[in-house]
Amino acid sequence: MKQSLLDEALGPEEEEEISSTTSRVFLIEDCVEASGDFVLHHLMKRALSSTDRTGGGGVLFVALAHPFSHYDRILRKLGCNLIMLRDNNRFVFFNMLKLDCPDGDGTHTIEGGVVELYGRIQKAVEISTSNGCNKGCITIMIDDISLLEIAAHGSANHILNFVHYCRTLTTEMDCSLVMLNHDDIYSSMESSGLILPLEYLADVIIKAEPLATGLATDVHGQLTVVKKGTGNEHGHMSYWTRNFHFKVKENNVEYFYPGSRT
Amino acid sequence: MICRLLRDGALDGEYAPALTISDSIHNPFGSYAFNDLLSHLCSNISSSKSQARALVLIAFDRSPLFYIDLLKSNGLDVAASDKWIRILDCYSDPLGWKDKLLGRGIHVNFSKTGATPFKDAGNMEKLFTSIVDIGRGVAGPSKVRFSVAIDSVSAMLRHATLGSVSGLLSKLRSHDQVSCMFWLVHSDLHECKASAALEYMSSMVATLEPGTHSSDGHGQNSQGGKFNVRFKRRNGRVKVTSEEFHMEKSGIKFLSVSSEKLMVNQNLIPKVQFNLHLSEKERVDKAKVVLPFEHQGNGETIQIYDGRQSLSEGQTDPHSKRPGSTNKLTTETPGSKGEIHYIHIDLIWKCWDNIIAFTTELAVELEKLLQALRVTYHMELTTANFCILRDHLFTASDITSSLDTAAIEAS
Repeated sequence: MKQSLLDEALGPEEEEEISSTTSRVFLIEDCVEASGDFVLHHLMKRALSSTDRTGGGGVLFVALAHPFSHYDRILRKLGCNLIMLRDNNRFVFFNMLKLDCPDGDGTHTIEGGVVELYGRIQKAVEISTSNGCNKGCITIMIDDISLLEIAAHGSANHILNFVHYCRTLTTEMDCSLVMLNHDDIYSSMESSGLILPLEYLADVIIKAEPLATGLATDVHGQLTVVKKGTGNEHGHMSYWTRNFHFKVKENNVEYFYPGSRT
Repeated sequence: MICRLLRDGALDGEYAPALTISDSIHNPFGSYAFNDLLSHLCSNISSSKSQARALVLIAFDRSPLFYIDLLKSNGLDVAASDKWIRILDCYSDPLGWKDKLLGRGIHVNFSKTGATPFKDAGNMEKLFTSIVDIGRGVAGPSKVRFSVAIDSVSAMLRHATLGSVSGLLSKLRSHDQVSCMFWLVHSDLHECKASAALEYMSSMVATLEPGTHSSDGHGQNSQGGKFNVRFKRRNGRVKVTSEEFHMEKSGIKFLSVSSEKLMVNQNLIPKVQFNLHLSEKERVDKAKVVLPFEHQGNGETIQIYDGRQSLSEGQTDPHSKRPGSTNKLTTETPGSKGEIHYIHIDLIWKCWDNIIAFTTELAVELEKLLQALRVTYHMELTTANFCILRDHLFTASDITSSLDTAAIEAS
């Protein structure tokens, strides 16, 4: 089956050998005019349907934006049955729609709440790897970071600590980390608070933006994929940036280079 | 040169040389430069070529495993590395969260390396003690020196204040067992004062600038840039060098400025003590300057100097007083060739009589000139102009005949 442009830009799903240069942290940045949810769904499907080295990956999904049924309906259209995968312990869903740190009864501080959430993720990773349900790579997905920041009462530093701890799992427990963040909710002064540090942490940045020329019926926006430290065909390490357009359809998303559509 | 200075270390009683590597999100190759320097220094230490006999690496941004893989890939003997390198692991559990969770029964075995865990990244006093203890542990308690490398001061600044981080770096630099120090900082994550404070404490500052991008039609590929280094000498003298770098699969590769470019620079720029280059701001300011010929024409009549003598200040134009009159500004010199004779004419005539009077007078003047001089090119033009004038003023036939004569003789 022919790979989509997004898959091509992200690189091969299975690495022959997991090395220190393997892309493990993915950051999706979007805005109101061009939602990046479809990229998150694409990566979720990619992680769940991968038949890599040892048989299939698992997903730990931290949902702050939508309930389980929302993702279930979308993934069903993409050919994934989340209920079945959840029963097989390959899909772990954390419903964090009501997350608030500190919580109402005052048992947790902001840090306490964030540590609690990290503890749940770490425990789930530990269980998944120890019971052998997921023989492949485990992907931790967070939808989305800005809602996590709201839950932490705007404390960017605690969120960065949380993300750092999740990142330690990627190197120590053979996981990947996928985060969605909204790019347009920060003023220029605040941008260095969360956006830039996350961009430094990420190995791959996928940015969804509207077209500069305005709305169009055939093109819903453009994706910019920045991949750090990737080796190219000449044996050079580089900082790759790829641009292409997308159109979100009912059951899939079409990706194409600007001007390539007739 | 950086490697040499780091290798040579500190003199007794002086601060250890310190290097700040500063990058930004537009050229995030600072970590590769850091790793390259780390590998070079480790190579020098392991072969006993440097003043330092050991290295303490404080890992905030990458796991200790990453650095062990890096040293392995550079051909260093990792098995014997315990004797000369120690990693202080501030990456795996910088805030002690995993310890807290351990108390709740959540436990994952993370220790795959021989790194020393550090779980209180906000406490700079404790960090200083740990670094010195580890350094002494590996180098020995005597006067044997060790180097210190910090892979992300940006991470430190997230956990602690600028004052405490500066204090730690300053104490380490002045410690009598520290041979040299270097660290990486992402300059765009912090206020200018943080970058300035770090640069004040450094004897060398390396800044990575974005370079050219290659393109394949569908994307851009950034493979390198410029590596600018500012060295501060002991006597306060500053030296700036610039190198190009590009990324290869094996890591960062530095290239000195090509000989072709050097030749061009040598030819174009004389060897002087002062700076002949323009900064970006100076270039913009220069572009904004309105030159003397550019300020005219803003709603006013444009006056372009046409080579004629201008009237001196205070001297009024005699034609304005008496329309239709001519004024010979240069006197002829009989016998000289190529002289230009200018006749100022006021073309604003109010009445018919004045025109006739003027043209008559002009014709007389022209006849005198033609007789006295050989006609020059400029005189020809002047005569032709009066032929056109004649066509418009087809009145007195005696005047036109005299002008015709002048035109024929002129041609």
